[in-house]
This record gives sequence, structure tokens and C-alpha cells, in this order.
Amino acid sequence: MKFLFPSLSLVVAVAALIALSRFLYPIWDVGAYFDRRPNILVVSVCSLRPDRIGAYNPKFKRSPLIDEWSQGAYIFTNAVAEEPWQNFTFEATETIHREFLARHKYSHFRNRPSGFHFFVPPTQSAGADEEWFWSEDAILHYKESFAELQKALLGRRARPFYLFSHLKYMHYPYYDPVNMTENDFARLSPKSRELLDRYRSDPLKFDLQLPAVTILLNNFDLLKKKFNLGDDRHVLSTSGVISDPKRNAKWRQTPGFADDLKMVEELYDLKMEKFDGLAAEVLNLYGNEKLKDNTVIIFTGDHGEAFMEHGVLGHSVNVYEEMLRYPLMVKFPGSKGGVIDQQVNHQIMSKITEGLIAGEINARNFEQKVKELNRDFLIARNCQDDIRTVRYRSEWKYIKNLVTGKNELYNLKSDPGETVNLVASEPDMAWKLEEYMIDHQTDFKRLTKREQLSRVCL
Amino acid sequence: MILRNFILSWAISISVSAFASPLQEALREYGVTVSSENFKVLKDQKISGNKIQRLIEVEGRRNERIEIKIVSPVEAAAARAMMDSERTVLKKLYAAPQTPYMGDIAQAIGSCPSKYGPLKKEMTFLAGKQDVLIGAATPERTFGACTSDQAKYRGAYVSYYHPATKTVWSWRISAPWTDGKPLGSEWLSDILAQFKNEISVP
Repeated sequence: MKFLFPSLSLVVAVAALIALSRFLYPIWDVGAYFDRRPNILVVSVCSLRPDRIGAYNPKFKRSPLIDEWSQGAYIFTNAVAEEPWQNFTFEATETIHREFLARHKYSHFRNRPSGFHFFVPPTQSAGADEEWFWSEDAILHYKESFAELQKALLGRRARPFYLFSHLKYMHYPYYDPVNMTENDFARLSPKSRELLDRYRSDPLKFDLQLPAVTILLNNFDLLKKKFNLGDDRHVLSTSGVISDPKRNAKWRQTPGFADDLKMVEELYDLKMEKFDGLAAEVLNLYGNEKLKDNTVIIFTGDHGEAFMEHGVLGHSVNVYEEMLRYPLMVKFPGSKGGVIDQQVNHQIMSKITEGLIAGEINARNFEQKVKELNRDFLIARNCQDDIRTVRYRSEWKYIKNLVTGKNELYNLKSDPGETVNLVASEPDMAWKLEEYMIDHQTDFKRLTKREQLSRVCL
Repeated sequence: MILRNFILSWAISISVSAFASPLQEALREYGVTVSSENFKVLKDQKISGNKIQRLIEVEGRRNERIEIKIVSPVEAAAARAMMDSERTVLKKLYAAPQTPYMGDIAQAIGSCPSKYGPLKKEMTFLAGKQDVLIGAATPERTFGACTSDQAKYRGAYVSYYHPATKTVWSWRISAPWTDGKPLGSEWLSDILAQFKNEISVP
């Protein structure tokens, strides 16, 4: 009888022990407490073009803090997405899933500070995105999120942590409204201020409204004009319409096209300039020296963003470099870093991250391990799956349009802008890459679950 | 050694030739006969490596055009994926535009009016029954025309795999759409009937 009804003090003691367990954890998990394996922080930025980072493009002077951080990082100059909407999130979380992290005794952040993307199932991604980044004040949102992140980082020191964040900051900046306070405005470069000033006198042209303390870059209205979105049914459809080649072609014919495009690019650069400071806070781990000494940071993107280089604005529509290429920098504490020309994609990056977690890849063997993951051929495709491409050894790129039957071949070393089609003059290389494409194309229905998850375009 | 083998394996012979031979002559080696002499060969290219691709483009007296692509050897799975993806792409051209940001553009613009296709028909072709995809084509003979000012041609696509020779055949056929009649498949029957093959293709 006494066994069935334990004393009240015993119940209280057990409850107290359970309550205290999370605080006692570092004591009994001695191995974890002395675990010197690095933390891994992955910061991915949506739609960030590598050429908008000074570390990639010295002519670009508007990312000084990220550039400073990049000293000592490994800089991958040929990171290309499998799709111009590919998101490392899906590949990473499917690959580096919770069980994998648990097996290697990594703590994983499952909570999602607002403004950060952790794992969002593909079916929910659109809705989840729209909820916050279309409408809310992006700047404030991120500041709050960073504060949450800081708290989280400092609270997880017993075990090494793996944290993935995907920032939607650069996503379609030209129609994602951004409120700017006077302080924000003051932080801009003279060039940005000059440009914004120039358009103050012509608010209709770009619909820049200037209330007393806020500059509202309401680009949605701008785009409605530029792309003839006169009827209400298009109000929610800008993302698709922006990248519509037919509408883009009409836009190109308008007299103000050059100025319009300049403004669109400026909006993007302006946003990058603002993002620089925010990103630097995270990349420098808020100045926490203990974390700095033992955290590997991967700063990357998901895909690029086109500015009409091949007749289209935005992303998802084609497979030219401006849409597929993304920045990728890996920084180990105390390492010298270097430039890596080898072509990589998200799948390879996932394997590198897995290797870091498993302890198989470290600062000493990083370059060698990356070489071992080399793939001479990388396949990519657009979201509509009607244009496919094979990239060969960072030098050759073959593009096949399944609708028009048009094939293109470019030498990326001599023609990085993909302007001279070499199909006729280099038929052997074109056919070699076409053959690879024939042998390796896959039907989505036949992909494994993991592969399907990594292909979120469909 | 690996590098040498790799280079040797790619010691490919490339021959690209364009010549105006009769269509019958071009298709003879594949066992396909053509009952009409009305086709003018616009292009006949052969590219060889580990695989061989033959591209033949012909034009008939009524401005109908046929593009024949023959690729071999291709393993069955790759061939299936190749044909499926081409069909899927063509079908998608008549569907609502898709973007990753679903729910916006698709709902806003909607799909192509059904009178422009795609129609899926089972037709007799080369001693077998084949699934043929039919749709309106643009003045450049590209599939996916969805408006009256764009729909200048009727287009058809048919592909099949011949396992014995590991060969993938794909045919794109287009003919002027000037009679004002519905898209249909009658126009195509006459064209397809001109090609015969001793071997039944699955």
C-alpha cells in the first residue's frame, strides 16, 4: 500500500528533479560539455547575387562589413543552384535532419524566430512567406529576429549547435515595400541618397512618396504601371508577371526603360547596403568571442536575381548565370581561407555541411574534402522545367530549351555574361554535354522523396 | 590513367552535314518509307559521340513542316524520362503559368482556352498506335499559342522508343491553321499516313 502511494515529498522531489534537468544537463553530459567540435551557423540570403558583394566584385563598394568579415573565408566563385528557386533549406533539412544532428550530438534550433526561415515544408512555403515578408516592416522584423537569434546563440553552448537561417531580405526588393526611417536614410551611401533625391521631384515616375519621416518605396504601384497591370486580377500576381518574358520584352521597348532598369537595380543595391550592417551583426556573432572561436559560419544564398541580362527580371524563369549563381563563403575560426573555383551546388554544399557535423571535415582538410566532392558535370533547370542546362568544370555551359528546341553553348571563362552562342562552332562540346543531359535527366515522379524535397520549383 | 581513359572515351568523331537529299533517302537506314516525294529536306544533321543524333527537317508543298529527331543508343529509363519530360513541357504550355509562388499568378491569369489545345489522340503511325499531342503553334511554329493572333499553325508531337535498337524518335509536325476549323486531328492523319515502317514500334 505504501508502495502505491509514495509520500508527497518523494513526488515533489521527482518533479523538482525533472524541472531542474535542463539546467543540470551540462553536468551529467560531461562529453558534451567538453565538446570542442565547432558550432555551425548557416546564413542564407534569398536572391542575393554574388556580384553585389565586394568580396566577389571589388567594384561593388556597398557591402563593406560583409567584405570585412569575408577576410579569412573560403570563397566559392562557382556556386550554382540546381534551380533558380532552389533553397538550401530544403536540401539541408532533408539531408541534415534532426536524427542526423542528434546522432552527432548537435543541438538543432527548431524554433523559428520571426523573420527567419527554418524548415518549411514545400506545400506551406508560399503561404508562410506571404504572411510576413510581403507586408511587414522588414527592417524592424529583422532587428527583432536578430535579437532572438542572439539569445538563442548564447543559450546553447553546452553542445555544439547547428543553426540554419534563410533570410528573405533581398527577395524582389523592387516591389516588396520597405519603410525607411530618417535614420535608415542617413545610413545610405551618398550615391543612394543622391538617386533617391533625384526621384523625389518626380514621384509619379517611381511612385516614391515622401511623408515627413518615412520614404515609402512602394514599388508595387511602380510595377503595375511598368507591366501594364491595369486590372485588379493582377494585384497578387506580380512575382509571376515580373518574370514574364513577353511583358519584359514590351517593357524593354518603352522609352524610359534604361532609367527604369537603373532604378530597379538601385533599389536592389540599396537594400543590400542596408542589409550589410544587419548581416555583419550575425556573421560576427554579436561580438561574442567564445562563439567566434568555435563556430564555422557559412554565408550563402539560394539563387540569383536577373536584371534583364537575358530579357527577364527576377528569378525562376531561365538558367543563365545571373539566376543560378549564388554567393558561398565558408569561414573557420582562425583560418586563412582562399578562393575555390570548383563548381558546387546545393547538394554538394549539403554534403560539406554533413561532413562538418560528422567531424569528418575541418579547417585542416577542408580544401581536400571539397576537391573529393568535385563533380565535373552539374545539371540545373528552370522552375517551369522547360529549360535545362549542364555546366562542365566551371568552364562550359550548355542550355537546352525544350519548347523552342534552341540549344546554346557558352564558355564561361571567356564569356561570363553568356552572350556568344558557340553551338555551331563547338559542336563536339555541345553534343558531349547534351549526351550527359540525356543520360541523366530524370522524371520528377521517379525521384526519391529526398530529391523531390530539394526540387521545390514544381 | 583515369584521365587518359576519359579522354579516349571522349575521342569522339563529330560530323555535321547538311545536304538536300530526298526524305526517303534520309530515312532509309531506319527502315521508314515515305510514300510522297513532296517533302523538301531543309536540314539533315548527324552528330556522333557516344550517342548518335540525327536531325531531319522537311517541308511539304502545303507549308507543312516535320522535324524528326532520332537519338541512339539511349537506355530505356533515360528514354522514358526524355519523352515524358518533352510531353510534359508541351502540355504545360497550355496550362496556367506556374511559379514557385503558387496561388497568385496561376489564379490570376488562368490557363489557355481549350480550343488551342492540348488534344491527346491515339493515332496509327508507323505500324503502331501512338499517343499524339496536338496544340496551336505560333508563327514561329512553337507550341503554346493561346491567342488568335498567335495561333497560326496546328502542331503535333509524337515520340516513341524502339527498345531493340535503343532508339528514341520524336516528331514535331506543324501545318498552317487557316481553315477556321477546330484544332482536330484530321489534318494530321494525312501527313502521318505518308510514313510507313515495316517494324511495329511499341
